[in-house]
Amino acid sequence: MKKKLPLSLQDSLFIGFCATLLVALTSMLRLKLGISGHSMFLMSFFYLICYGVLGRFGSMIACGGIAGLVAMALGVGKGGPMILLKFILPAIAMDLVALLLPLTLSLHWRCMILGIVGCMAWAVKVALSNVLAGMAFDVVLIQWGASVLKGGFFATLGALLVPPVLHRLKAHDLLHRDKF
Amino acid sequence: MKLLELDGVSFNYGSQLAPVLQELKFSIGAGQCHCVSGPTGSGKSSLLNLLAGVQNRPHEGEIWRHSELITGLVMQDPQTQLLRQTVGAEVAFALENLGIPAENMLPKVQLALRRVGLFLRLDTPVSTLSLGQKYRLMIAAQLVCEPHLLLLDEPWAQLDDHGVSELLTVLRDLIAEGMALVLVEHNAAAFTDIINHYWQLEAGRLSAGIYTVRDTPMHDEPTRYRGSASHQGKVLVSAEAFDFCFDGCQPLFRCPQGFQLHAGEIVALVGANGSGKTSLLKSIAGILSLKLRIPLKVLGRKPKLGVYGGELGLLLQRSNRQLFETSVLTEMQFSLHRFGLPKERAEQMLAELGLMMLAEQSPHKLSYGQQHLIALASLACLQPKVLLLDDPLAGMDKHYYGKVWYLLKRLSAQGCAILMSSHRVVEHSAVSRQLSLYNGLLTETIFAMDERDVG
Repeated sequence: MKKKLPLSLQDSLFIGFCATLLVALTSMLRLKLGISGHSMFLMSFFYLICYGVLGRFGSMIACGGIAGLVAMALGVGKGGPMILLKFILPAIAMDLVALLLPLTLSLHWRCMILGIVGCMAWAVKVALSNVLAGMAFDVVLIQWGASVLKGGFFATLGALLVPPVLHRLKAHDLLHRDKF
Repeated sequence: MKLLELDGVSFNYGSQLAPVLQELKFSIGAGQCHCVSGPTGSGKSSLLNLLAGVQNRPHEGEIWRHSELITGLVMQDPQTQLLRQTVGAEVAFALENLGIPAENMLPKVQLALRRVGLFLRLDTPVSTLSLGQKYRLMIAAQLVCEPHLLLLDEPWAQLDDHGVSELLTVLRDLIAEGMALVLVEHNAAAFTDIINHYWQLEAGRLSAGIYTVRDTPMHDEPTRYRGSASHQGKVLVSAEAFDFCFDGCQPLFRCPQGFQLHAGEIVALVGANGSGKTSLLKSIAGILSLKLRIPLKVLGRKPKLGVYGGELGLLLQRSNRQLFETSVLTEMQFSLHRFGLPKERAEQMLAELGLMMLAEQSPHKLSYGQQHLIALASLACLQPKVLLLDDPLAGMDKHYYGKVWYLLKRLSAQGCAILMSSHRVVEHSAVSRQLSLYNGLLTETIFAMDERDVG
């Protein structure tokens, strides 16, 4: 009989590793691209790696929560305490939608969908900031749409990197899952 | 006293893959020595990992362990288990992790080293030890935790004869002290003095007895591939007299007469562990750069990294370090693609070697012996002019030996010059000459035909 393994120390360390690397890379690579949404590249990549490696509900939320707290404590990025929302909102949305996605769907498609969902949730934080700044509702909506478009591009790029990375990890016997 | 028992244990690496271990029943008591033999890739190392408790994949069946059982595992590849720079730090590593106070460590470390017969300073660099000494160091690093059960993965393949005799003495003493041993070994005959129970693992089933290989005559037809003989005898590698020494060190060995390697011949480079075989092969391949350069010419040029392309192949002793693709087939096709050679050669090679079942498997999950063969086959696909092999027969059973020799004879017939290192004399009719590296001297031995063909 196959037993479902509990969350092991190894899994917990992996989530912590992804979260730390996400914050470290975000702070190190402060790219002045002049395009909003490029942070979604790293975010969608690391969250989806957690999703693929652990394959359980809550892994992305845990990763996002840790990353948000670390980023808030270290003062990484713009937004002050709002930075926690920036990291955790996409993670919550992605984890919830992951529950609804059929496993028969190919990993590439699942990653892309989750990446875009994450981006939409991330744009909610942008919209919230704009509302707090007193922006008109219709402008907030347009800004939200623009953020989704720009961030969605980077999120998709990050998401598309995930399947080959998971494939390599599996080939090196670092993943014990039969199917993603 | 019973230490460990397996009851109906089954294990596999994925629900879509064939089971590695099936319904195993096995019991180990204190002071016993069990030997498990079986074909290459049959799951012997997986069994040891399961016994050691380091296999974190789920399994079926019950594994009962004595409540106080401590297990030590010495893995097949010594390089993966040695973590620290010095002998003392290596043995103390486990104690450090257990939070033992530093003042209590020293006597434990010294006792463990004495038990394996290593009378060395604690600050001796691990890199200066021979493989035999390294193996005993790994055992000492396990003994420091005072295990009741010690698991050894194919020690004979890694050690020269002197190393094996040293190890036997140590193991005999440990058994006399009540320690239980499980050896995984292709060559059980080397340890008959200490083994009480023989097991064979084949097709996932464990049964009493020693695994023997059925003859595979299909791989012993060298003459079939003898093609044009025009290239036979052409000198491809030549070295004048030289002293081999690392920068700022005393000479490791001398070669007073130099040596040559001709097209179409298979030459064995035989020497004890740590005598300099690997370093010489790396120098010939141009990947070891020394200040005092060896007067070598390989394919008419001074050896330099990257200048030979597909004309020269080097099989590393740790062949897993040259495997990087996600499947065996793509691994073999990688270099073919790189050098613009037909990719079909990879599939043909796998089919000829009867390894098509491995084509879609990950090369990183294969056994030590299988990885060696796949890495060799990847090089053989390129049909190089010079092939350097560092201990290519390690971890293989006789069935896989047959496949390796089939490949080597085929390449030789195509005019490839092959230099293969080994820590034992290579007894095979295809070997035309032997370069012996003993007592710091590299000399040549030529076999007389009648001498080789005896038996």
